[in-house]
Amino acid sequence: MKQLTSFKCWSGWTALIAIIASAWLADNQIGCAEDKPANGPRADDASAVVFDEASLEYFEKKVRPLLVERCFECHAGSSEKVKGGLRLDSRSAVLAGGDTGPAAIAGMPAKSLLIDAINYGNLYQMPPKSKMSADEVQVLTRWVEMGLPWTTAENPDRSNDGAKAGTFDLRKRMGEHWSWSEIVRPAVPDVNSSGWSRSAIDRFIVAGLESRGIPPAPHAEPDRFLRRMTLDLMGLPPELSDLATFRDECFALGDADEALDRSLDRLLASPAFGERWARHWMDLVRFAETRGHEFEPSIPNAWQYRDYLIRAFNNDVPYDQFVREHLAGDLIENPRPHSVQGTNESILGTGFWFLGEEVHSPVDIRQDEADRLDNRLDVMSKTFLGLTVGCARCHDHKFDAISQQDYYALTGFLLSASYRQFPFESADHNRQIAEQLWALRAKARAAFLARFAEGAQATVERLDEYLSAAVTLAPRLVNVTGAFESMPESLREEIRRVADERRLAPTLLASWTLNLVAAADQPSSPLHALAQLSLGRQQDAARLLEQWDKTRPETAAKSPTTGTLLDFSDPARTCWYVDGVAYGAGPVAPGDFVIAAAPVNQEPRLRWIERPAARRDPLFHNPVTSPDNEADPGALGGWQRAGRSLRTLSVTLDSGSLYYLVKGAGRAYAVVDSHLVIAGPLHGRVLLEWDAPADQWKWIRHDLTPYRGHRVHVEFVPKNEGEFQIAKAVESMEEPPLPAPRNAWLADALVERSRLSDQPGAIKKVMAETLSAMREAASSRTALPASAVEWANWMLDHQPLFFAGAESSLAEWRKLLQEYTDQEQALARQIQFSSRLAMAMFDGNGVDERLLVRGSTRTPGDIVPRRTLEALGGTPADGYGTGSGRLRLADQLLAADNPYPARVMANRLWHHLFGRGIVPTVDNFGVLGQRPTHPELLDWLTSQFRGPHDWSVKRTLRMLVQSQTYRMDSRPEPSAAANDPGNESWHHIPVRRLQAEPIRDLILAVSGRLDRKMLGPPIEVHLTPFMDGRGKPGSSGPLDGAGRRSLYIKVRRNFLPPMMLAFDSPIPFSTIGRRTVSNVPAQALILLNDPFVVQQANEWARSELAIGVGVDEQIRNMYLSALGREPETAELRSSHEFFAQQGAELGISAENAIRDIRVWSDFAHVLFNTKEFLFVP
Amino acid sequence: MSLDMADSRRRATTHCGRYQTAPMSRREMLRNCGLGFAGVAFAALESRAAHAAGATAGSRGILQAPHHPPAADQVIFLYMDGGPSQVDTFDFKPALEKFSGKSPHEVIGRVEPTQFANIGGMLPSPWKFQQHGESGQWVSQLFPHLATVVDELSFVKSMTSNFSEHTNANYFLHTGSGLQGRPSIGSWFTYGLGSACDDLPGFVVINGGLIPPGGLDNFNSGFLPAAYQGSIFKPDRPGVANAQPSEPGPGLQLNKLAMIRRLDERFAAQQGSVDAVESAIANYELAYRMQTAVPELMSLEKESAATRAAYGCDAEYAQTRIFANQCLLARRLVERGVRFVELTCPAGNGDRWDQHASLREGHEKNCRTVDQPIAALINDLKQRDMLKRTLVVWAGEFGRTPFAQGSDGRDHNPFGFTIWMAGGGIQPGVSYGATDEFGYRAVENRTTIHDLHATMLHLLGVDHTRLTYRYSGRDMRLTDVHGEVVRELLA
Repeated sequence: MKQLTSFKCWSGWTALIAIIASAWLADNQIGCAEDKPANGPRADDASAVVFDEASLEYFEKKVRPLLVERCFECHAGSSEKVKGGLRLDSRSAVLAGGDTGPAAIAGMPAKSLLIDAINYGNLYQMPPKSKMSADEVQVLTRWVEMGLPWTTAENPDRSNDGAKAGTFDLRKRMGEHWSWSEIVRPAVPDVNSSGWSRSAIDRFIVAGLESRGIPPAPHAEPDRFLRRMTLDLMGLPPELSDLATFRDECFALGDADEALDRSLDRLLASPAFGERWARHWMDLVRFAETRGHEFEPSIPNAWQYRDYLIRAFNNDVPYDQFVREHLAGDLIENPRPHSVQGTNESILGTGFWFLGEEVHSPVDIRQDEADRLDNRLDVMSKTFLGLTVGCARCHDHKFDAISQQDYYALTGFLLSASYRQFPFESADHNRQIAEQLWALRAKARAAFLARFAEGAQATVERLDEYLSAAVTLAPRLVNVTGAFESMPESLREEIRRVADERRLAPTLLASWTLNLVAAADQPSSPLHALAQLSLGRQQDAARLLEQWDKTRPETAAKSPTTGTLLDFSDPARTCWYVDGVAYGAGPVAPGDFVIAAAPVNQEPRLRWIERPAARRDPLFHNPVTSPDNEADPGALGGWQRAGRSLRTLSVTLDSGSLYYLVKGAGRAYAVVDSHLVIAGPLHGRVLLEWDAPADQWKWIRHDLTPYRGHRVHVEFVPKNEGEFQIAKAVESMEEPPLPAPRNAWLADALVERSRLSDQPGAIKKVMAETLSAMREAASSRTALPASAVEWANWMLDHQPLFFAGAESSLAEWRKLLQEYTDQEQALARQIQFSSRLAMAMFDGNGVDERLLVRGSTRTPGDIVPRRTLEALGGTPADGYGTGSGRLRLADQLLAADNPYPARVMANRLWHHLFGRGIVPTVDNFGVLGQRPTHPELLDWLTSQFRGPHDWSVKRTLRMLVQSQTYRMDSRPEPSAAANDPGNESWHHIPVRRLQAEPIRDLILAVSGRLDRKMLGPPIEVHLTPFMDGRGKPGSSGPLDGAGRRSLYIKVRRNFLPPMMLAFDSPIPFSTIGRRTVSNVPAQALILLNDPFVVQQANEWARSELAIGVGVDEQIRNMYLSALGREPETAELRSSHEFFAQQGAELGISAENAIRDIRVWSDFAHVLFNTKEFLFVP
Repeated sequence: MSLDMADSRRRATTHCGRYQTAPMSRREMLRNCGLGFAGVAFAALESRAAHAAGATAGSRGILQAPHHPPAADQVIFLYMDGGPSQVDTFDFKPALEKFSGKSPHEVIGRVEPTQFANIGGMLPSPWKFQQHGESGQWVSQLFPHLATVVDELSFVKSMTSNFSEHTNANYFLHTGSGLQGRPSIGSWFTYGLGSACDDLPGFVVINGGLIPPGGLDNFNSGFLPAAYQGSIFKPDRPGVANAQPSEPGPGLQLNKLAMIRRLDERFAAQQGSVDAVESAIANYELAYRMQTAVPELMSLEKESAATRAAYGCDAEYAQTRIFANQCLLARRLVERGVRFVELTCPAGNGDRWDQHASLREGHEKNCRTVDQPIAALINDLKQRDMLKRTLVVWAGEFGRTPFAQGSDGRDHNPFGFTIWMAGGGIQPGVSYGATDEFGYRAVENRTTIHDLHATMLHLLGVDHTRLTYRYSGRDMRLTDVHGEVVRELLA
């Protein structure tokens, strides 16, 4: 194992990771880069090597036939396709090797990948079908040992090396494919039939139609159009009152178009709008509320992201902002506040990253991570860019201008941040409190310093005299207990005498002497040396000095640590990744003060911080609570982490033996390969809990040795309300030494240490300097220098000694302390501990990923620095800062010269209204996607969206809805249908089947059962007898989903509602911008027989009957509710016939039938089943 | 900026031979799938003229014709949820006796990480093995009935999987990918070949009680249209969801259907010829027929007493009775032309085949559940001359370790395990591939899940490299970019 040398600075981490990773590989596998001797010389040598006859005969007789028989099918020039870039048909080819390095190293079978592979090693098992016999393995092993004898020095033809022959020319690909071109706002065409056009959109469409001589379809009828528009924008039908209002306005305005515009305004302003468009978006980000896999662990509080979407669409958040929030909402400097509550909305967008599957207890944890990251990247790139970056995981994209480097350059952004539950309701509020608190402390610190320096001044001025006197008295006071007053009179007399001689106060002298005596047994006291000397323990003193010398920083034994995840004493290794304000504004530093928690009825005590550390502010002691909050699944579930996590740098483990330097009880979650669901037999060791003393530092070991070579960062949380500090987290094979005992390295301050007589003066000097430092810090409003802190704390501990005779100062001090604690408490009372939680990104240090050769985690290649796609201008810049750099990435993706985000979204808006995108493959604008039917219209729309509309979704939708094109009827002119049967030129609006959610929502709306309550925790899914399996919820949700809209039904990956699935609601695994529309008998069976549909038909009939209008009026109302139109006379008649028929079946008269709830239920049921109900014309 | 489309397509076809021309129009596809309904006159409800309505029923698949003459027409997939132990069933390893209790690290050498990381000593099978039939294949005591039909079975003793976790391995076995969201193998078959059954879905999963880890997505159509989803049946009435009319009497429903039709006629006429609307209308005809077909299908009591007894429908052990009904139902489904039938295991045996502990008790229960019904199914299919056109596959998602987990269990082992196939196109009575002497790693003729899929498709006349669906910028395949037909197994 390669030993690591010291670190220069933490920005060198990536290089370091590379070293560790390759070192790990060297240990575990053969043939990695570390073992690879330089290729060139050996290749050159190949021809020069001369083998004896026997060796060559061995090769010809034994080796070559074996290679031909067992290897050449895939690894020779004659192979159909050379696999892994490896050929074995010449010696130089063997030495040069393939994608993962040389196949063999002459003379070293144990280091030859070929030999490892034929032994079915870790990386390869070759030949793949059947293992070679032991004899055959021996033949090749011997051959490598012999130095790879080969009869001829071939000069192989490598033209057939499939893996290496592929060409990837990024610029060429960009130039050849339309979608990489920048958006140029095209001129709106002049068209002849301009009377038809209502907008620029129409002129683009008409231009196409005219050029092909195709007539557009006529206007859709206003009633029908109102229904189309309402369903498209809200996913709900117009209510009877909407229809009435519309008709009234038509009448009043005398103009249906204007009345429709007014309805459009109402629709866009309706809260139901956000629900509909949030659901569209949920398809893109594979929204789900469980993680699938075996036991369906929950995705806690995923619904907060759903609610965020609803609010965002309703508030018409500009799309660029929306994108930025998804990519980096946690890093935005001024987050977008909730419109009412003022809470942080922006950060909620980042929840989308974590909506994918997660595996509990994966055996190959690194592979599992690679799969998860792949899914995130895939979703991100398809959703925002309409590009299939995921195709470049194993090789350069086969068709698009996306390289494998691009894939891993983007992966780094995801590795640089982790998952958390964020208290979004309290975070900003608490930050304000914390900022006041920090200001209060800065002010109070100066006052404390000044006050103490003043109070102790008099004592320190004469300290040398008191100490000198104490030295003489010390031998007399050994074994004496109690204060001056309780001492025997003879002793008091003696003390008085010495005091009088030197004009000292006897009581105070007695106190100093007692302290001096006590210090003889207190190595941490600054008086310790003096005490030892004055009691004649010179030998001890000598030994002590020797010890001091050993523990002085410059002579201390070298720490055994091999890596550092966190070290607040080293500015180069200090990072500050905290989740909220519980740890203050930054690490506590020497010279900061804390108020030690005071026992009841005792005064609070002030202490100066001695050691840099992260310290949880005791004021932020409570966990975040809210009755709605869901806990993480698995072992993390019981940990209160939100708002009180602190994370380290992300590193690659070398030894895997970690030590944390802590105070107090805490917990550590080692996030290995970002593994999250800590449940099941494996990986329990990533979690660690400890109880350490609150008042002294302790090293805690976290054994992660099984994860050597894996990437990890650690997240710390306090375990309870008490003291919690963490100063360091290091990797070390043995426990590092604790910090030197207090005072040990203060010895340097004591000049002429061995001479007793000089000591009191030296001590006085140091203390006087300490007071002077205090005054200086007070006036300059800085912290006490670290060098003064130990002394200052000792002085604080002995405040009565130093404030002797300065009673008024002591009173002042106490008053100051009291005032401060009162103010602090007043602020503490405003801290908000209750908050809902939502998933969010937790940014860490920038991590760059290695390119994985052929996508395999077992064959890591070179590091690829983070950047955006090369084709979008990405270069390995230094501009991503110390964190992940996602905010910069977002800005780059939203830059004006990147055509994708705006174009893809504009196309999605079109797709949802018109049933087919201008680019029909809405998630793939690449070569294998379809080309735009109207490229100029798309670019015009895009520039409108991005420019004049300021990325407003609502304004853009309004423009689309108001177009003449959208207003067309669904029935084409006959000649149009003949000329353009595929409707590529948009000569009519296609009839569309409603999606799954609107079907169910419509049924609820029509039956009157719809509960329009918005937002909030999901409704549990209803379980039918056919829904079974592991992770099945303990109880079934209500059959009617409590009447809530479908997007509020909990999305359980393994228990998706059969009705939704039958109508093509997507399985949440990746981006689905365009749902399939299938036709299965299950759809008809559901609408005919499903208990939910039957129940709603009954419900509807009951509510209609309750209104108690006449039969025809009731039929009319039901038609209007369900179909948005009145029944025709013939339909009224056939309705009556139907009542009579059902009555006959039920054995009741026609007269009774029209009053029978069963008959009306059947009628309602019929309407639910009509195609007019299910399809939008 | 413009790229000649034809050029891009030409290039596309050259890559791996699996990127084909741009997708057809939906309309074209519907027609090809048998979904298209344009031009078909409105048919009476009881007419069988509208069979073309559902892709899952009586329809052609995306392939106009099989790529080559099929050896089999239908598949029964006996899914052994949890991972049966190869060394306790069909892969006889006498060497385990010799090393009993010894550390696998010493005996085997390198041992891969396991799901529970609780590796015990080498564990010989507690069951005796014997050779059976003319083929002389080894079968353990656990399968006395299956041993009698062993000459029909063809073993693959060198199966491998890529995953050690149930869910990933289940998805892999069912969809060719370890992650959620890909179409199930039954979906691919019906997508490619359609179904010969008029009034039942083409892909049926008979759920014995245990939906495997990963849930119903093991049987889902993924990115294929919902038409190709597996339909979940239960082995007892009503069999399938929503096939039971909601009305108390048939007349009430017929009236409704007539009324629906009247309204739909008006709408369809108004819209002109819209295939989506027309095929949705036609769907009701199929749905109506399914309401009759399903109860008829479920009438297992109509089978002869001898047949029922042979399957074990009245067996003493409750789980055997459930699986007997499943097997009988499977036969009835293939009889009716259903393309792909999958059986999952009955609940009630503890933890499926997943014996991390109590191997003896667990495997005995599981074997007792499936042994007699499967043997009867093979015999029954043979007697009815259906076996030669029906491919029967028996497989778990992985095997188990030849060493103990703890003291009396076995952990997951995807590195070498056994499955068997029988029937259509399979050479009977052979054994293919081998594990090492411990039954741990496949070392001879290693066979992947992709190979299994390729072989199954091949037997039904489909070239696995040419059955594709465009999704996410790729022409997706069941076998991804892998898979080779195991020609040695073909009859």
